[in-house]
This record gives sequence, C-alpha cells and structure tokens, in this order.
Amino acid sequence: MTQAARKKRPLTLEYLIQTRSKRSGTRIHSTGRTERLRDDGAWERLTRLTPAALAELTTAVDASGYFDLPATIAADDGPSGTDLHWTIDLDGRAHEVRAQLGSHMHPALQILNDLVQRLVAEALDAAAGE
Amino acid sequence: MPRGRTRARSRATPATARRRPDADTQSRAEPGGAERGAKAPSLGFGPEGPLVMPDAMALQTAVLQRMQKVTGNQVVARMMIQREPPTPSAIAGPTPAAVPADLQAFKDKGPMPAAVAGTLVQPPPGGGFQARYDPVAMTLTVTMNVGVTFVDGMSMPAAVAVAGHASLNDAATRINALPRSARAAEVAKWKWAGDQETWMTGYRANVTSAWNSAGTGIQFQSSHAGWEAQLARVNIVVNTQAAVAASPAVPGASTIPATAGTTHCNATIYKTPDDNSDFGARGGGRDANGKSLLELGSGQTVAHSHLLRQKVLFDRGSKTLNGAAKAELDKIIYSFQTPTGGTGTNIDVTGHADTVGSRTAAGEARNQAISLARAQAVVDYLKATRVGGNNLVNAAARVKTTTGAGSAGEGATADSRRVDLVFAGGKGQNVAAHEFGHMLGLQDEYASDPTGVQGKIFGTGQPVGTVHPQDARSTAAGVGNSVYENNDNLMSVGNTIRSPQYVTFMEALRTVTGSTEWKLKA
Repeated sequence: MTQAARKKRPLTLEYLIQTRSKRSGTRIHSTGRTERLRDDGAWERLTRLTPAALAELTTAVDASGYFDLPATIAADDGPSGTDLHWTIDLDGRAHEVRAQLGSHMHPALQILNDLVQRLVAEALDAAAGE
Repeated sequence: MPRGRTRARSRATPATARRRPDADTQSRAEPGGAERGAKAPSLGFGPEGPLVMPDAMALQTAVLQRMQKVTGNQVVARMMIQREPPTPSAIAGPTPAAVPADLQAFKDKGPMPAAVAGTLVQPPPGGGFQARYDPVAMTLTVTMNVGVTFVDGMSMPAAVAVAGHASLNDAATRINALPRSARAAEVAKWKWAGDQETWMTGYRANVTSAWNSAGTGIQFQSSHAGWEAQLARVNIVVNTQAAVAASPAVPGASTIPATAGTTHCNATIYKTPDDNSDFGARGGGRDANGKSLLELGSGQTVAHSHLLRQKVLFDRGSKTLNGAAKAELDKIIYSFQTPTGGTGTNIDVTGHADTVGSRTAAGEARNQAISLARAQAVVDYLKATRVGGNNLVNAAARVKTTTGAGSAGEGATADSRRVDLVFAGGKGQNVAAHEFGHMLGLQDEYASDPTGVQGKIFGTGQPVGTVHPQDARSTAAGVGNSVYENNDNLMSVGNTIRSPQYVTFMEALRTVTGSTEWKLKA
C-alpha cells in the first residue's frame, strides 16, 4: 500500500440490496462506523472498520473504476430478482449506481461487494475477540 | 365445472383414458342395460346355486357383444386381451349419435402431435416447453425439463460466513455477528448435504400441483359448433436432472427421460434454510444456450412470501399514528393503490395490543378498546390521506373489516402494539410456482415505483394500473386482460392463478391442435 493510499481520505459508502420483498444494506461512514439496515427500515450500528480497512476500501474503490460506471446497469440475461444500489462519496465526489443482478454481477461491483463483506466480517470477528 | 369433478377426471392418466374410451358411455348406459339383461351369464357355482354376475360385468359383456356386431370380432378380441387400443371410432358403438362425425374424426387423429415428446412451444423470451394434446383424454400435457445446478447459499472459509449470492449478504452478516463457535452450525443450514434429490421431488410436486387444471380449476373448451363437450385440461409434467458436474455429487438423482424432448430451463438452486424466503429469485429470461433461467432459494418451495400482509406499529398505550406509522402507511397506500377502472383488493384491518395490564378484566377491556381504536385510526388514514397526489381510491368499499383483537396471543413487545393490514385474504406466495410462471413465458404483474423509492414492493418499476405488455396476448387469446397491480394473482404478489395466467397454455393448445376454436370453459 502506498503512502498516498494510507493517508486518510473521506469515504462514505452505502450499499442497498433489494429483492422484491426485502431491502437490506450496509452503510460505512468515514469514521469507520458501520451500520446495517434493519427490516423496519432503520439503520443500526453493526461494527466499526479499522483505519487500515478503510484505506483498503478506498484503494479498491479507486482501482475498481467505480466512478466511471454508468448510473444504471441492466441485467445481462433477463429479469432481475435482485437490485443493487451503491452510493459512494470519496474525496467529496459522489456517484450512485443502480444495477440489476443477472447471472453475473458487474466485475467492479463484484470486487466491492466481496470486499465490503470481508471487511465487515473481519471487523465483527475482531469485535467478538476471536 | 365443479372443481371436484375436474380433479376426479384429471387423475385418469392419458394412457388409462385411451384404454377405456368407452368408460363414460358404459356408466351412462348401465341402469337401463342392467334391467334389460334378462339372462345373467353364470360365472360358476356357489353353495346356493349359480353365482350371478354383477350388473356392471353383465353390462360390459352386453356392450362387448353389441360392439362385436358393429366392429367385428377382431376389435373386441383386442380389447378383451388389452392389447393395443382400438381407434375411438371403432368402439363408439353404444352411442354413435352422441359424437358428431367431425369431432370423432378429430379424436381419431390421436394425440397432437403424434410424437411422444410433443411440440416445442417457445413463448418469448425463454426456452419454452413441450406441449401435446390428447383429444380422447382431453388433456393438454405441458412438459418442462429442468437441468439443475446446486449451489451452497453460504460458505465459511477462515471462520467467517460468505454469502453465495448478494441477496444473502445480510444473512451472512448476521451469522458473522455471532460468536465464532456458533457460526459453523448456522452455515451448515445453507449447505447442500445430500438432500438435492429430496428437493427436486418437492419442487416437481410443488409446481405441478400449483399449475395443473386440477389445482387452478381453469380449463378450456372447444368453441366449434357441436363440440361443446370437447375440453382441454392442463396437466403439467416437470422433469428434473442434476447438472453433470454437480458438486457436491447428487445421490440417486432423477433424470430427464430421453423421450421428453430438450432441456428447457437451466436452474441454479441456492441452499437456504427451509423457513427462508429472502432469496432474490428470478425466472424466465434466456441464457446463452437459449434456455430459460431459474435462480431460486431452496427454501422457496416451502416458505412463502407474505407481501399481502402488512403492519404498522404504535407507541405503548397510544392509539394515535406516530410519524413512522404514517410513513409506513404511505408506502402501503402507494403499493396497494386501486387501479383505474378497477375496484382494488379487499382489505381487512385488525388492531392488537400488548399484554401489559391484561391480567384483569378491566385491563383487557382497555386493551380491547385500544386495539380497535388503533385499527380505526389506520382505516381513517387510508380513507383520508393523499400519497403522491392520490388517496387510496375506493378505500371505504375496500376495507371489509375493522377489528380489535385485544391482547390475545400477544406478548409485551413493540410488535404486539400493531395493526395488521391484510390484502385479498393475505395468502402467502409460493415463490417457486411464481418463478415457474416466468419459465412458462409469463411476466411479473406486480407494481412498484419506477424510482425504486416509494412503496413496499420493488422490482418491475411499473406503477399500479399500467397496462401490462402481456395484455395484448391474453386479450387475443380470450383469457382476460392484464394490468400491473399488487393483488392475489400468482404473477403479482399472491398465490391465485387466474385465466390470464393460462395464456401460454391457450396459445400452446391452439398451436398443437392447429385450431383457434378454443375458449375458457366457464
């Protein structure tokens, strides 16, 4: 990781996943505070990402080309059962992407999806003292 | 036609019906024939003299003798030793005038097409299905062949749960919030463990019982003059076969018979607990090989989706809607708006109270009163509030019951202080059957906000009342019209199959019979 990447940069990320009947989501604040969207639509605190995790996420957002993605991405092979709604604000630059999930997730979103899941899991693991 | 009668008829297999094409004729002729049978043939001797043949058997003999005169010895001989069945016209002796000659000729053609696999019917855009009509059994057999890939809904590398699909992310997060020692047992519920064949058996039973005429009560009738007795009942056959490269291996897996035609659908089934219906299921579409797609959570053959049941919560001791409750009702009104020209679904509103103070009769009376007041507050809001420029059209007529249930069966949680809104009876949706509708070439009929912000239901982006793209097809087929609405239709958010959802069957029937003279049977 470069020195520039380690430098704290303001990042907020919100990732909503919506099926026909359920909306779930993860929200990460620039402080590392991480929230989960409850079934009743309220956000609840889940865990806190470390500065290193935030830096890794920031680097991944840069590398993924997220800010070059179109605002809407249709499923590649028919109707979608799951819609993804990303909102990322990095260094004051915000971008929203609404993507229908087909058989394959857009590669840039797949990278971010997997990373957010892993970082949240690691933070929960660490918080559990394990 | 009464549903009981439909069921009874559909239980007869086409093969059985072909072997006994005169069964109905026999039963109609039975009483008179028995009375006229002066000489009952003997079967042998019992303690009190010759045994007398039962009436039915005597009649059968009489019928055979009559047929022998009409058709000759060879036909009767074939029937008696149950070899290849004779053509229907050859055995129509007892009531030759009952079947018009042109209808008899139609029946004599035998199954349409003759090929056992049937005709491949492909409503756009998917892989279609095989269809074959048997004019004697009066059955339209629709065969869907499904290749299945089984995928674990969750894996657990390095002691943390990882979702196999984005719609399961939240479930993985909840597992990872557990102590590490408790995670493996939870993740195990999301992994296939030799239960794939059991799942396929359940899936086949699920979708066939949902879509058969025996389950829906919907059937077709010839509209050709004099052919009113000619029906077409839909019989669904689903064949499943695990993908060759299935991992883990599928023990004792079912196969698609070689005579059943092509594979129509490639399915991916994600393992979930049986009580979970949260997977972002999708069906229809078209993959690179021209097959329909199906992605389903395994629990969705068991657990139902309950979008016709909504609720709002109240503060403790309050019968007044708070801000959150009003916001929730606004979403509910948006999603369950009445379509233009329609009446909208029925709504039943039931208030509840928690058990605090319910130990005394006076306390329970207060809880009863507050539960009813809560229900009334919701009904008043439905009638008066404007959401997106519209109130709930026809609300007064749509609300059928307003009930206070008191605290019976409740606890002392926030969820106990609620009002339930039940739309169109509130039956849960069989998600697997809904997705099967997509595989048959049907599209979603539920409505949602184009911006994905308002309402309680998401996906189509088509507001309530928008004319459905399927409308032209269903109207042309004479099976009714289609609009986007959140109601109890299976292709909306409920579980009822109605005539517009039989449009692809009507189209298939017309294709295989080469006739447009079919209509819904009233």
